[in-house]
Amino acid sequence: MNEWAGRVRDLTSFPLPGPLCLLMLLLPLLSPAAPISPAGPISQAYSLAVYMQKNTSTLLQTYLQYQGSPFSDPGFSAPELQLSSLPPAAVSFKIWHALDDGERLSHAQGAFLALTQHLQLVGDDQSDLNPGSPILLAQLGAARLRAQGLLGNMAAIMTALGLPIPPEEDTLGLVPFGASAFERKCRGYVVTREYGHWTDRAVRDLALLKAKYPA
Amino acid sequence: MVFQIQISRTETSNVIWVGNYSTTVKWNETVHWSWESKLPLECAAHFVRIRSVVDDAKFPELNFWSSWSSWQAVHVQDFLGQDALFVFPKDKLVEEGSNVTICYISGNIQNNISCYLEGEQIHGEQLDAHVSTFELKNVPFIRKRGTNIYCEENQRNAISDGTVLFVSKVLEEPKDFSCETRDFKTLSCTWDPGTDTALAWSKQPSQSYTLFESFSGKKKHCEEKNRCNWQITQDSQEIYNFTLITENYLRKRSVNLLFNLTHRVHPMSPFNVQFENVSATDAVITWKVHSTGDYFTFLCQVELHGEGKMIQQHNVSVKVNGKYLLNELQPNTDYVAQVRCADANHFWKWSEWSGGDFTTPEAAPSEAPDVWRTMKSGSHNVTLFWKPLSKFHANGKIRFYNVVVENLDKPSRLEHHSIPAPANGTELTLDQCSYRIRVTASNSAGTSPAAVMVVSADPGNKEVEEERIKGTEDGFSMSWKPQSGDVMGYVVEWCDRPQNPLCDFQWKNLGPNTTSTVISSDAFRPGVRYNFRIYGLSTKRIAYFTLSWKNYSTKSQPAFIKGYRVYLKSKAGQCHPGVEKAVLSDNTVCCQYKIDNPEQKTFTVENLQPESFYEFLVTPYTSVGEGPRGTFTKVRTPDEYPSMLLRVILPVSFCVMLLVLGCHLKSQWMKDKCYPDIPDPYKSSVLSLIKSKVNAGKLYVHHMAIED
Repeated sequence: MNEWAGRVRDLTSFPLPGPLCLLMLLLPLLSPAAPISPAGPISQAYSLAVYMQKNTSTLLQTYLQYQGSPFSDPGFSAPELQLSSLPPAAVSFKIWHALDDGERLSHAQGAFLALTQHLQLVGDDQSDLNPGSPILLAQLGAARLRAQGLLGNMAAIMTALGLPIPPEEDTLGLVPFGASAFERKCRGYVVTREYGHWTDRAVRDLALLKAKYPA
Repeated sequence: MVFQIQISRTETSNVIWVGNYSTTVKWNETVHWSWESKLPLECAAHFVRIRSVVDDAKFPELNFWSSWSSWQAVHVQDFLGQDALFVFPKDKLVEEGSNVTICYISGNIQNNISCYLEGEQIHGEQLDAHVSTFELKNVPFIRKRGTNIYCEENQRNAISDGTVLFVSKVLEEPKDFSCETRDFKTLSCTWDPGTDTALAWSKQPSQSYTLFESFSGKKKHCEEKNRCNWQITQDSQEIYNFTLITENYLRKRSVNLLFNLTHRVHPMSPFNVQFENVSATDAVITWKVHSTGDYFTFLCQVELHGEGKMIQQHNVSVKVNGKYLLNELQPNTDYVAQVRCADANHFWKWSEWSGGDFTTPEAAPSEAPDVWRTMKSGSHNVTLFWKPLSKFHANGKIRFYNVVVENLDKPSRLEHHSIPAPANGTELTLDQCSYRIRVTASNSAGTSPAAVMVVSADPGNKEVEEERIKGTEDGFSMSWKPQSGDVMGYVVEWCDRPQNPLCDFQWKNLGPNTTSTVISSDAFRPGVRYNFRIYGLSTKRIAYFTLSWKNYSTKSQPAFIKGYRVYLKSKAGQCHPGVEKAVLSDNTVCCQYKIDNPEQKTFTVENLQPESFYEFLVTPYTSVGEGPRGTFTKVRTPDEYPSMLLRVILPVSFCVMLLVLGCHLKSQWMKDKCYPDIPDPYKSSVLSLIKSKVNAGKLYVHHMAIED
């Protein structure tokens, strides 16, 4: 996790002698303990998401190029291919707009957590592709790191908002190790496609939050 | 026992394969047998049954077929119930050029299904309502990452399922398999592996290579795909039988090599190449070879290179130390020499070249410089010109030129001039005498042979024949009459730039039998007049003498003196061509010279033989006739080589004197030795010797009368 994800000071851990105790009671009156503003983390997360958005289509295209026909055919699209272990980004506008901060962020958190694990799996699958796809592997690696970065940023937002951070789940569950080459190619396509969709959605989510919690 | 197996597909009645399998059986032991179906087993139900017969001579009564076993169903998985399409076989590995059958099972799918290979639709056969098969014949290799085959429902236009077919390139037999040793410690085997059959997705690794040697029974897995090192053990195995085995998941190939170790020696390159005793014309090259045993002889090749070209090549037999004398070298030249060696007895391969360079020192120039002279009219100053020696003759860098001037008429001290290079001429101040000029060129190693030129005090009243010639693009073509007498050669001289004050003096040397030549020069310009002078060089020095009668007063003579006649008498009686002959009153023949100018009171008689006697007479003539002829005066022309004569006469006379002295002093001894008294044969010691051996004493001479 990122270092700067925020440290919550635990006041109860300090041993306090008597007079100091009195002083401590007065402190809240002297300086109001303001909660950490979420504007900073939101802005940071938003910048990262926008930056990620610039590379998502390149990642998808690069991935498809290396898989051969029909994946590499121009304009390839197979929306019916889905992975049960990846939450879909598509959602009705009405429902999406009505989400509260906690739900909004936890959906995104869950998705990007799943994406980091799936991107690792796809990276492992594709590194079997010997001799030559260093570009694809590099892009998959970069995407995974950025997704992890965004997770950290979103955790910071949740902390700033006083929301609980959802625990890390093993989203992949039981990996079907026996997946054939064709299945793995399809799997990688779904992951890189959904990565793009979720990044688009994160930008919208964070824009909304940015408007809600101005600096 | 013989087992007969039947295999059916979809239904038991549909037998698709029958085969026999013969094997020995043991009681209660499981027999194993396998069969690969062309159609993936997932696509249809398969059934198998078996029966047997004992095929053993020992049990003829059991030679009848048993009854068939019941049909065993081979189900891989039940795909029919599922609401999806499944394509088989998954991730199959095949060799390029083989045939593959692809199939799909569509569960409850109603729509039409199309299948594609590399984007191209493939057409197959429908096995039944749910299964279709596609036969791919002679599958090509497309890429290491495999070939995608997928099927989609036409209506939904969505991928239903697919498979990746991994086509491997055919494993090639290793080519150019060869082994050699460089040091009798390791055998280095190399080969050309051909195509790498590795495939992506860990489907097939690169093919492995293993070396097996049959005499020792040793095996080694090779880490590299095109070479392998084999340790040579101490047990002096000479013959090796190697088998190189290559293997991938689909195929195994091998290649054999049988050889004698001593026939495969590729020596290391020689070392410590040195050059000793480098002189102007030869050098000794020495080198060492890496020893591989006492009984080993190398054949080494020495190559000498100069000016970028190979000049010499020699073969030398060497055990440990090599040595060779390189001769016929040029002085002051850079050379590069290199050596390489191979096995002398069983040639396999040459080692790499080892070499070095050296430079021969300078040697004395080998040829005399090409010298010519020109004299300004009126003065006796001689300007010498010489052409620089060619690199081949110079044998080094010419430092200076030596000019030695010797006065032939008045022998005196020699004049030495040393002119530093790169001068190409010098001016000498001389007087009327004859001079011998010697020109040599010197470098750091010595001096060249001399170019000798004699400048005679020529009065220059010769008549010179003049001819006009026209030049062409190739130059000027000229010819002349050969000169009489001993002609050493001819020289043609001219100025390249006659207009220039510096003239740019040129000359060309020609042989004695030449009578024509073509002179060409880059400096010749059209429309310019060039003067060419042709000189004949004679070996013999022309003698002459000058007569003068200055005291003769023409004015006080009784008549008008019109001129003079000079008469010359010689022993040979020959006159120089062009000179009139005259007969005298005593019928002797003489040469007549005419002088038409009464005021000319000197005359030089030329073209005479040296060391000869002549007689001359000068008489005036008038319109009526000649004056009185007095007596002829004798004159002798000087010697050609007066000093040489002295050099011969003096030592000879000295020797003679010594001889006479010796004879006089030892006259008695001489007498005894040279002209003893004629001995009396009867008193001769020889006879006495013959007569009696006892009297073998002293031999003494008797005085006896000499017989007439």
